[in-house]
Amino acid sequence: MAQIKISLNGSSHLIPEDINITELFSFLELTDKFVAVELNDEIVFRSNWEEVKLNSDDKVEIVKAIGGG
Amino acid sequence: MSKDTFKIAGKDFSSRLLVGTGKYENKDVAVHAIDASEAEIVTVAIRRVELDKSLRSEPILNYISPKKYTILPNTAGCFNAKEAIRIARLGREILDGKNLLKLEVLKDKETLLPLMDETLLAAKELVKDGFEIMVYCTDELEYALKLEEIGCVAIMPLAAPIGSGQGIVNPDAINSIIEKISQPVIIDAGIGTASEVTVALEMGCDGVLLNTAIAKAKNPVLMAEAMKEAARSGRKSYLAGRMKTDTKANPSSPMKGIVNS
Repeated sequence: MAQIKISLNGSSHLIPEDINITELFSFLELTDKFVAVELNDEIVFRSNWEEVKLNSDDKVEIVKAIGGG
Repeated sequence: MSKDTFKIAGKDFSSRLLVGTGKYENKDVAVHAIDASEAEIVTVAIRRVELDKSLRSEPILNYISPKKYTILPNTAGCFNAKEAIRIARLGREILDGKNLLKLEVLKDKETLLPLMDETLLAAKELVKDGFEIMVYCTDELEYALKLEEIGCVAIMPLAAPIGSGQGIVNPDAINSIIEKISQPVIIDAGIGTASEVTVALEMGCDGVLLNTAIAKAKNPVLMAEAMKEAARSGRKSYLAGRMKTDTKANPSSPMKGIVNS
């Protein structure tokens, strides 16, 4: 399967081409429900995860809640 | 005593102790200590997910559940308004659109003191965007008033620097904030031990937010209970109204009828 290069949480990663954000989670084996996603500096709302496909050189951030004060 | 609650963003809370979820030894201690504190509002931070599956730990919101607690995402780790606004929006998305936020913009990594100009900028922008902001700030009345005017739902001056455990270093400044601010005033950061929580509530603060004082106690669960009781005690003492201080002694027993007279 062809791959594309994206920036993921600040470092370069190869992912399968033509996948959406939900599929990116499966690829990363990420099952945490409490996450938020930014694509090229814009938040992608949960309701759009299945529609938004990733392209070469996209900048993706996936964040979660952690212990903090 | 009738039910004593206070409102943040239109919602009633009865626990005047708010706690952070950081610095705990492990998940079990965090769960037990936070449970023992009987806090209703708990803070979390926002960070990148671990891409390496083997390095991932259990998601905190799986065991500190938004069903049980009001989760307060914190912009901790931000040093300007732009960063804080970004993190605030990500936090809201993690919590499915909940607008309650702890806004914290810091000056630098050494002092961890609030950077007030950037805090004001971020607060203005975020209020416009629908956020209900509980704002970490200095103990300067001038800034507290500005933040209230902008529309922040709680003013949270520091007692002392974050994680320092020094207690309220400037009680006069805190008193003037309590006097002039109508939104809840919550002491945030710098509390080291239970008696300092009592002092804050006796002074008339609406609540205290702390993290390290519980997480880094030798026995965090026991300290969480102590903090809970300290908050209740301080609040009751405030409501009861303390006696006047006097420069001279006043006998507690009547002088009349003394046997040896």
